[in-house]
Formats: sequence, C-alpha cells, structure tokens
Amino acid sequence: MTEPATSDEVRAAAYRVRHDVGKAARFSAPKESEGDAERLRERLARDLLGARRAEGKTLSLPEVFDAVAAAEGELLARAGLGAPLDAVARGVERVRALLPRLPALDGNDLARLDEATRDVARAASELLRLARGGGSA
Amino acid sequence: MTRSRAGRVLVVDDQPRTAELLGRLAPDLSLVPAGSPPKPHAASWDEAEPVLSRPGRVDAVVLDLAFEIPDEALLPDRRPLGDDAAARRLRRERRDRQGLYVLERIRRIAPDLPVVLTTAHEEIPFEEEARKLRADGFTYAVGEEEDAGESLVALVRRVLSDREAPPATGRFYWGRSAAMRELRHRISALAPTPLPLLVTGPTGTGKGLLVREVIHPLSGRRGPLVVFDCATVPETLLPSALFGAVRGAYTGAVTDRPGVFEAAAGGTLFLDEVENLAPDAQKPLLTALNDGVVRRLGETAERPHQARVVAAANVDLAARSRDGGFRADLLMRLNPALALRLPPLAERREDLPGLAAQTAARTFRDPSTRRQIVSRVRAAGAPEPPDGAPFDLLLDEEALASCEAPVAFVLPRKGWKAILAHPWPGNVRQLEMVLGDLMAAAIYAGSGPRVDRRSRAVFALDPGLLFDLLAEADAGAPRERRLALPFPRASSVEEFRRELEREAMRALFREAEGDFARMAELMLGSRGAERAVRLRFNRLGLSARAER
Ligand SMILES: Nc1ncnc2c1ncn2[C@@H]1O[C@H](COP(=O)(O)OP(=O)(O)O)[C@@H](O)[C@H]1O
Ligand SMILES: [Mg+2]
Repeated sequence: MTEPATSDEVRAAAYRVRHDVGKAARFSAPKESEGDAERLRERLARDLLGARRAEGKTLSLPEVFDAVAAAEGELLARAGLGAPLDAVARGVERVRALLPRLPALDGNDLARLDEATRDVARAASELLRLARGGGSA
Repeated sequence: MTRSRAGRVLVVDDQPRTAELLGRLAPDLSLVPAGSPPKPHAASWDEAEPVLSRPGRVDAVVLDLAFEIPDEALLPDRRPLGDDAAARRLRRERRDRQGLYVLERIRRIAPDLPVVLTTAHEEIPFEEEARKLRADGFTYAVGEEEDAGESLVALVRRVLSDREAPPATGRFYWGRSAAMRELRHRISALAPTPLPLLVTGPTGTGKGLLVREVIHPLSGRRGPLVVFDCATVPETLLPSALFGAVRGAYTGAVTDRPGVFEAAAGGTLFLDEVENLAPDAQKPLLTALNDGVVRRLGETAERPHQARVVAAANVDLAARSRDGGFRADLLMRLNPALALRLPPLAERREDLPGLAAQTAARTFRDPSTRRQIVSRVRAAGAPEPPDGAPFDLLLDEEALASCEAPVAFVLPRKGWKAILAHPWPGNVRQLEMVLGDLMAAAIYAGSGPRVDRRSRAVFALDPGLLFDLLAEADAGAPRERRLALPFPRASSVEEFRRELEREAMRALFREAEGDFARMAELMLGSRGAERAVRLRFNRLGLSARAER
C-alpha cells in the first residue's frame, strides 16, 4: 500500500528532524557554553522543556522527537536512513533520562545534558546531510 | 552609533522562541508586534500582512521556514484540506514550505525589504525553491549548530546596518537587490586580502567598474591599478606585455621593458576578459601566481613581483576548462570558489530605478550637457536654474507633482514599463546607453522644454524613440554579411572601440547610400530604428552632410 517516497519527501522528513529536534535542542545555546550552572539550567529548561510551543501547546524535546519519529521514522528507515535516525534517538534518550530531574541536576549532570543536546543537534545535521546526498530514495 | 532607533524587526514564526531569543540577545532592537491581541511575532501570513502592507513600519523580517498552523492560515489558499492520506500529505508539504510561500508574498508588497531566513540555505529541502530564493530572497546561512542564536543576531544586525551604507562606492552603484547586497559584504571581506580574485558576469554588468571603483580602492594597496585587456593584445605580444622583455628579445624590442606584472607592483593587476588569454600565456601566468615571480622575455633570472591579481571573465571558465580552453590549474589559482558574480540586470530589476537615477545624475553633472540644458531652458522662457540646482529624471508623469527640481525630464509611464520589462542583454552598459541617448535626444534635438505652472522646465522624453532604442538593444544576433573597415588608429582601448564604431557607421552609411532607414535595416533588420541610428551616428561626431 505504501508508495515509494520521493527524494523530496525524504529530504523534507530529514529536515523536520533537523528543524524540530536538532535545532530546537540548542536553539538558544550561546557560542561559548555558560560558565554559570544556573544560567545553563535556565537555558536547558527553556530549550528542552519548551521545544515546541505553538497552537497553545508546549512539548518537551523528547515529546517532539516522539511525534516526529512516529510520523517520519518509517519513511526515513525505508530510505535507508534508519541508522542515522537512531543516532538522533540515542541522544534524545539521554535527554529523556536527565530532563525530569532538571531542577535538581548538579553541575556535572547539567554538562552531560548539554553534551547530549550537542549530540542530538549533530546527529540531526548528519541525517539531513545524508538525506540531501540522495541516492537512497 | 547614535541612531534614535536601532531597527524594527518583524519576526514571522509560528512559535514565540525566535522573538524571545532576539529580545534576550538584542534588547535594543524593537520587535514589531503583530496579531490580535498583539504579540512580538506574527504566527502566520495573515498576521504579518497587515503590518507589512503599511509602508515603512518594518526595517527587516526574520522568517522561519516550517509552520505548524491550521489549514485556514496556510498559504497559498487557506483551504481546509480534509483528512485522507492525500490531504495529510498536502498539509505536510504546505507546512514544511510555508516560509517560502510567505517570502513570496512579502516580495510582492516589499521587493527589497531585507528578509533573514532562520534556516541555512543548505538546509532547505526543496532544491527548486531554494534556488529561486537565492535569486531574489535574502537568505543567509544560519544554523551553525553551536551558535544559532548568536549568528542570527549578527545577521539581523548586518542587514539593518545595510540601511546606512551609502548606495554607491565611488561610481559603482550597489542598489538594493539581495544579490548585490550579498556581493557587497563579500567584497568588503575579500578586497583587503592579497588573494587573487575572479569577477564573473555577462558583459556590461559592471565587472570592470567594480575592480576600478571598489576592489582596488578597498585593497588598501598603495601601488597602481594596471588594467590589462586580454582580448585586445595580439597573441604573439602577450608574453612580453605581461612579463616584460629585455632588449633584443625579439625584433623590435629595442629597450628593456617591464610587463604589466612589474608595472602593478604593490598594486592591482586587473586581467580583463581573461578567458581570451592564449594557452601560451596561461602557463607563465600560473607560475607568476604560484611562485610570485615573473621572467622577462629573453632573460633567465626571475624577479619577484608584488602585484595582486584580479581577473574578470564573461564566460563560464569552469566550462572552458572542461573543454580544454582554459587551464584548470590556472582557474584553481583564481579561487573560483570565491568568485564574485555580478548578476545580469534582468535578475535585479528592483535596481532599475536607482541605476536610472545614477545615470541621469551623471548626465546632469557633465558641464557641457548642463550648459546645453540651461540654454534650452532659457530659450523656452523659464527662469534660469541657479548654479548647482538639482535636475531630476522622473519615471512617470505623476512624480512631477512632488518634484522640487527646477528642471525635470519626464518619461511617460508606458516608457518606464517597457524599461522594466526589457530583457537587457547588454545589462547596465546598455541601460546607460539607452537612457543617455534618450536624454540626449531631448537635450540636443526635440522641441525643448515646456514651462509648467510652477515655472519649472519640463523636458518630455520621447517614448517612440525609447521603443526604437530598446528594439535596437535587442538585435544581438550575428549577421553573415561582412563589413570592410579601415584599420582604426587609437592610443587606448576605449578610443579604439570608439574609432571602430565610427568607421563601422561610416561604412554602413555608404552602404545605405546615406539613407538612415536603410542603415537601420542593415544593422537591425528593421527600418523602424531609423531615428535611433541617426542619433547614434550624430553622437559619434559624424555628420551626414560631411559624409555624403
Ligand atoms: N553597478 C554599477 N554602477 C554604475 N554604473 C555601472 C554599474 N555597472 C555597470 N555600470 C556602467 O556600465 C558600464 C559597463 O560596465 P563594465 O564594468 O565595463 O562592464 P563589464 O566589465 O562587466 O562588461 C560602465 O562603464 C558603467 O558606466
Ligand atoms: Mg569589462
């Protein structure tokens, strides 16, 4: 029943992962990481707890990822991009594990959470790069 | 900087985060509120439109690409889409590229408003649209993953500071098209470096002028600008002209002579139309660029040179190098990745009014033209314009109402429309010639100005002549017939060109037995351009009576 996806569709799906997840994960990250733990906590809260705020709803980064993966995962997997999508998922899982305790995280854990957002962003960019490379669709 | 306002920015994004980011990182910018109740961003085109359609409210737009908004707010038609698979797919697609639809609407009401897309160009998943955006949007690569926020702020500031940049550098007019603004930034970064540069673009787009007026002056180099036209130096003389020769190196080399490389020491060597460089000259040029040395013909020792090389090409050098006409290694040395591409005029029509004003201003500054204008104003019984009073070129009759100048040249609206629609194969050079000829006709021929109720002298520009000139400008196709010309004498390339044209006109005049309509037919395939041909003939200093 499923029609084969066009390369435009594959790219658009990868773009959605990059835009909604990868970019959102570090949306307001500064060039140099905040030295100050409270400012870092504040930024992570802003970007990760409110990764999508539109139409009156607020979704966290893992929730946005779940929605995007549910909608696009299969298409990306069929296009041979399952592995790079999994790399994004692994980063998101690290975020998911730490995020509920955000208000209480110590400096080390905050840095680990920040690092996880970096990995999410990188993996999402890589996914888009591969999707643009074409051929797989 | 003591500006009363740092800049008014409209954020168009379905989410509040971009506006919040700007508010945090750039509190001096004012975010223009949109929607009702008002908020610091417009979540859809419907919220952006009322703000943008009131002129002058916004200095820049920051625009997202993807919008998760309901069907009723989605461009292009705000139609409820339903819920079957096809509808879902269509909704997805419209949401994904909503920013591009919005940009297209923005361009309809504000063609030159700076728009920063919060998406890197490389990220846009739709190749076709992305290419179009580059042509007429104002897209910047944002989204270095580590510092999206800060680079966005830097881009917005850069765009806003463009508002204050003077419209021209020397005689080179920039205009406001996105392509030229982008070029301007790249040039201000590249000109002061010692890197060899390549300037590309079709003929008449201003490559030569750019090098003269902008690149060399901004290079900070004290030495001279030496222009070397690779198209006009005979192949056999190329090596010695470029690199110099010692006495006796070839017949006629009676003294030691430096080449242009040495002449441009400490300055800029401009190699114009570099695609015409014969293969024999390409190799030593490559050596000169690679090793920084040149060798005069007939000499064994190499000399270091201190010239910065800027080359211009009318053609696609990459294609030339693929089919063997241009050395690939030489092309690489010219940094093709940094090539400064001047867009064809047809790709930046929003600059036509500015270029027209620029051309007119130059005509009015010319002392003898000015004297002639003043004498015709006097003859028409209008008050003599004071020295230095501004003259104006108006692009439709209605502009006269708000014109303050004592002397105005008025082009009927249909004339301006024709200019806007013209393909301009000869680009800015051709625009200048057409406007120059049109104004010259009103100044030197024609019935002189009329004096209006406010005692202003108004010269009407002749739309019929304009159409002839545009038709002439269109006729570029080579013809099989040959024209035999006496070899022109000249001491510069410019003069050579002018002499060549004079000789050609003379020959055509003889061929047509002094009949200008016939001349037009010979030249352009139609008798319609008779007046334009006659005018050109006269402007070249030729006289029909003397030639007959
Ligand atoms: N940006 C510009 N501003 C002002 N005049 C221009 C501009 N571009 C081109 N011109 C006019 O067009 C003429 C042709 O430009 P030129 O630099 O010789 O073009 P090219 O070298 O690309 O063939 C110039 O003499 C100049 O009068
Ligand atoms: Mg030129």
